[in-house]
Amino acid sequence: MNKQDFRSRDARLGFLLVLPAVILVILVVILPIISGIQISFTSQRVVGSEYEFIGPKNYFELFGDKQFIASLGKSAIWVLANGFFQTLAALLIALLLNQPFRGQNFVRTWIILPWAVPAAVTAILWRWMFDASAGIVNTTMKGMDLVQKPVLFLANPDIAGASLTFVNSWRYIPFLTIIFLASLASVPEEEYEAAQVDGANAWLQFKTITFPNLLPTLTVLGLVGTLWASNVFDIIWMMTRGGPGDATTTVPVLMYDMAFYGYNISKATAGAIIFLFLLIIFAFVFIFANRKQFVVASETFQDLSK
Amino acid sequence: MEQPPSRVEAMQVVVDKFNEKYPQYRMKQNVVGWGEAFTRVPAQIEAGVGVDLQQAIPGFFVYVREMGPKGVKPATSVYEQVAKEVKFIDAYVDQYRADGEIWAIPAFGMLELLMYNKKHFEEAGIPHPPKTTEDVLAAAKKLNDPENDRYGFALPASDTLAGTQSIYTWMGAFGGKKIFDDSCKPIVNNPQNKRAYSFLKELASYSPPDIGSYAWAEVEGSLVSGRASMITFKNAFMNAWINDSGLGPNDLGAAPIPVPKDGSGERFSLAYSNAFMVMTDDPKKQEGIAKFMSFWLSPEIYGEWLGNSEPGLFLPVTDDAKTNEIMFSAPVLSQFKAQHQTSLDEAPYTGMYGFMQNNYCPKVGQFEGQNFTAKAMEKMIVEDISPDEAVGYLEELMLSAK
Repeated sequence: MNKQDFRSRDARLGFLLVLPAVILVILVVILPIISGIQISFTSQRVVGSEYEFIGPKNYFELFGDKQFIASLGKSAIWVLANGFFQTLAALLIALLLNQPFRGQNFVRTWIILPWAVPAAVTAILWRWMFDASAGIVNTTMKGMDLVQKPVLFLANPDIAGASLTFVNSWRYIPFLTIIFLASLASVPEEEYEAAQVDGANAWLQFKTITFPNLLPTLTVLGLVGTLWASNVFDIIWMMTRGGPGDATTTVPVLMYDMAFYGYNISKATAGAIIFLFLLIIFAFVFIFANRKQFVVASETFQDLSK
Repeated sequence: MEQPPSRVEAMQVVVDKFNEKYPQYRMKQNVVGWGEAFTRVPAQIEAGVGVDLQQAIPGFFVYVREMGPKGVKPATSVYEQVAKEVKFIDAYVDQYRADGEIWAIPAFGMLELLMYNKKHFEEAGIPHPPKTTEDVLAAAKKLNDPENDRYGFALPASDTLAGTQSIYTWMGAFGGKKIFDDSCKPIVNNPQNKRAYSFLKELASYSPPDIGSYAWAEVEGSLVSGRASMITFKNAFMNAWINDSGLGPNDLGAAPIPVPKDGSGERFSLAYSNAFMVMTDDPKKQEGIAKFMSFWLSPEIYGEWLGNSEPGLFLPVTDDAKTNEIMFSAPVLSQFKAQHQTSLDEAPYTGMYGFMQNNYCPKVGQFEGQNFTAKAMEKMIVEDISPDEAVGYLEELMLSAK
């Protein structure tokens, strides 16, 4: 067998192995997007109802729609707040859990629990915990004399977004923590030993060894986390339905409401397509700007897979 | 059929009995929650795997009818066959009349009452339930004690269906039940509704501070827990009252929705007609559907179902069932006969937004689906705008609907 044959057979095998995934992506991602683009140029009101081709009218209407523009802003704030809070908290927890202590394995295993709780259960759980009269959060705060009146976590437009960010973070922090822990495990111990010999303190070790080693992971999470957070719908819908007022109406919430309760599936689809393209542009810019980190991350994953 | 387990179980009993009595037909229950009905049912129809008989509420009927002939089919002939055996209450049938046809066969009703804690009224020296809206405000003010986390009323000021139903009920009581004119133009920006929203704003001031996030569970919970003394609600929480209020059935008050003292309003309550839409053209299946509905509405089966599936919430849609002994002797319902009788007595004085003109305006789907009345209420409370501005905003929302 010559080298050329081996290469082509290898390539063929690789192609065959990837093919099912490619077909699946075409069926459940590409085709629905094409269908969505098609619907967005029509006047369809409800799934299956009759419609006419109206060109880009839905898009023009959306660009002049204050509620849609506001929802884009709220989505951006939502993503930034979730990204910042989750990354910081997960990183701190991971650094703590990376230190040797009794019961470390138990905590590292079970910390994932909130992530495993279904979104519906999370929403109901926190809705009741945030309840102004009987909720455990307000009861505890009042019991400790931290507040005189109950805090309206979900009914006050000024803090409803922060409350939702907290709940969503509560869900995702464990998952991010596990990712950071895995990444921390790959940092060579010798680097810390050498730094200690040189007299570097904990902060200097973090700055010069831990953080640079975590950077590829942080970069990948920056991209994936942004896309995940942008598409969060369930927690928001089930806890506030976008309210009070429009305080927590992000793009996915507005699109769902518009499609299924506003009887305007074509306009909602147009909004979703705009949002999709904004996310694609963000992904390209982000990957381009951080291409070196993505290369390192990809090499790390390849090393791990060997 | 809708999702809560007790309802599914009760309906399964009916289905099993029907299948046993009429082996030539085969009825199978498919469960879908209201939260997903708007996405799932049209997709099922589109995919050709829809059901033959679909539970509906008026707003959902409008939604499915948007699909054209492949969606809901006229049910007039099925209705006429069933109506030979039972006398339907008109208010429940009217919600499905459009274009000279009846589009669904009424199955059960629900309506709003003023529910109150009699013990709180006694303690405050209020001798009788409010009859006028002025009485409501006076009682709410007297019962209000925010320092001790007790409130006169619990009004849902949230963008929810609970909010929509409660707010619209009061709009109706103030004389503003008609929301479209004959050409389907919104007509809500009127003095009646301005008065209604003014009343609601004051009522909200005697409500818990977190009413902006209240849905059904919170409204019900506030009365059952004793945190609030009055709510506008369906007579739907007998089990919760027995188990969690620490009070007896006689301590739960149920009264018709009060009206303005000057007589400018009208005796009114929002009523939902839950019905079944015929989704098949097949004459054989339609015959089976008529048989099933007649079977279900027969005194023995219907009485047992009404009494046990969701005691007090589900009301009969036929005249003869109003005195059904089996219903009244059901274990829980039998303890709340007086409250249930109040619900039954109010049935003739009910209506449903946009469905009282032997036709409906398509925009009513968005009116309900996007909770326009509740949105206006929420805005009035959250942004502290005036009742006039809130009503103006309500009309603006209705005009923006397509």
